[in-house]
Amino acid sequence: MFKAALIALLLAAAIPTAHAQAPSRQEAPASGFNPTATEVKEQDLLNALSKVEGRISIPDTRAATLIQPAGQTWRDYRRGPLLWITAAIVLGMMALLTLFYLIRGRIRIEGGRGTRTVLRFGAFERFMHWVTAASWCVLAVSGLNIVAGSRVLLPLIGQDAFSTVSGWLKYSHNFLAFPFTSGVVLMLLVWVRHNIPNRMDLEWFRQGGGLFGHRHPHSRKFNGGQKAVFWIVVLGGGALAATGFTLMFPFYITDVTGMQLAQIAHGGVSLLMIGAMLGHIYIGSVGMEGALDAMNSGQVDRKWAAAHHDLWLAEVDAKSTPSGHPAE
Amino acid sequence: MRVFLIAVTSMIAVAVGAYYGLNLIQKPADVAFAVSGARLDAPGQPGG
Ligand code: HEM
Repeated sequence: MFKAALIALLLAAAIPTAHAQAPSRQEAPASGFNPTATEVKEQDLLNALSKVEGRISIPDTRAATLIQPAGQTWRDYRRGPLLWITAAIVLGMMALLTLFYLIRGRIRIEGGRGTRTVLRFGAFERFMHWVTAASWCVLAVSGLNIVAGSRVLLPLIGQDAFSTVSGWLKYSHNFLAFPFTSGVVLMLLVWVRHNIPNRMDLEWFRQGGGLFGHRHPHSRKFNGGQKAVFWIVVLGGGALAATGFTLMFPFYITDVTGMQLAQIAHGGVSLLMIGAMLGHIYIGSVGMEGALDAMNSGQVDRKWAAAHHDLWLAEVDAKSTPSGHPAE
Repeated sequence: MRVFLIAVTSMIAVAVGAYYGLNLIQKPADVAFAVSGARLDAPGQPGG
């Protein structure tokens, strides 16, 4: 309160002085007395304080913040650097994957598909994967629209269509956050025991995951790369939920500075996650023959399983006899 | 494919549930922040 009164007083004194004495900054008056030498400029005040607040009579006390200079930095970041970072990550990752495809081609099942399959993921595992994946895709597209839609989509489809599309995307972003969060929690509960990092993962990374060449490093149910994806989803998804719900319920948890930080963190983590997930989507579909079966029918080719998850296949075989279903 | 369709349907169901759930506890700003001494117009409404 005292701070606010002080600022009001200083502002009242400083601003008119700044206007009235503006020319005297260049040439000192004949008297030799230069009042602007001790002038308190508005910007100095704003730099010294995180915000300027007053007193209001409506119950929403947050409306009492009049000026918050950090908001300008936040806005400048969103108008400039954020757009470039977004373009670099999204387009850069797409270019990298295209290059990888051109160099390495599709990773085939050596000797072609076999006739026998093994159950890799049960119905519930596939269900939680698709709830998370489908909501993630819409969250990613709608989030990118918030960041860059007015630069990318608006010029293409015009104002009316853009406002309708953005409205629906915004609703989708808010409400699909709930199934997305549920999916991440389910994945954590069901898969965490298979995703504890160990020394075998280091070896997997040392051998580049067997992506180049014909040697396949040993792996149980999830290899080093898949464990990395799991933790990116759990920790990244957790961070996005924490910051996202902070944004969705404005000012419940934090003040205006906290909201700005939450949005910057939300945007940053989501971009890193988008980069990582583009890689995951690529390798799970066009990049590797047989991989999509695991999340489609749940049954994978035994030859695929032997190449990529040899120790897991041995564990499954030790527990039961193979199902003998033909690969789809 | 069947599991995928069930997952997408459930995703939509949870989202719609969240919509109705939140509507039960949320109030529009002109209601939430009005007191006997201060009335707020409904933003976006005619005359608001
Ligand atoms: C529980 C999950 C999530 C919640 C609660 C959530 C919520 C939100 C909210 C409320 C906003 C602010 C919207 C606005 O400014 O009008 C937002 C922005 C955004 N979200 Fe999410 N979100 C979630 C998940 C995700 C995911 C998974 C992604 C991407 C993969 C994502 C990407 C973005 C992006 C890029 C923005 C724009 C950030 C900016 O404007 O700087 N979000 N989110």
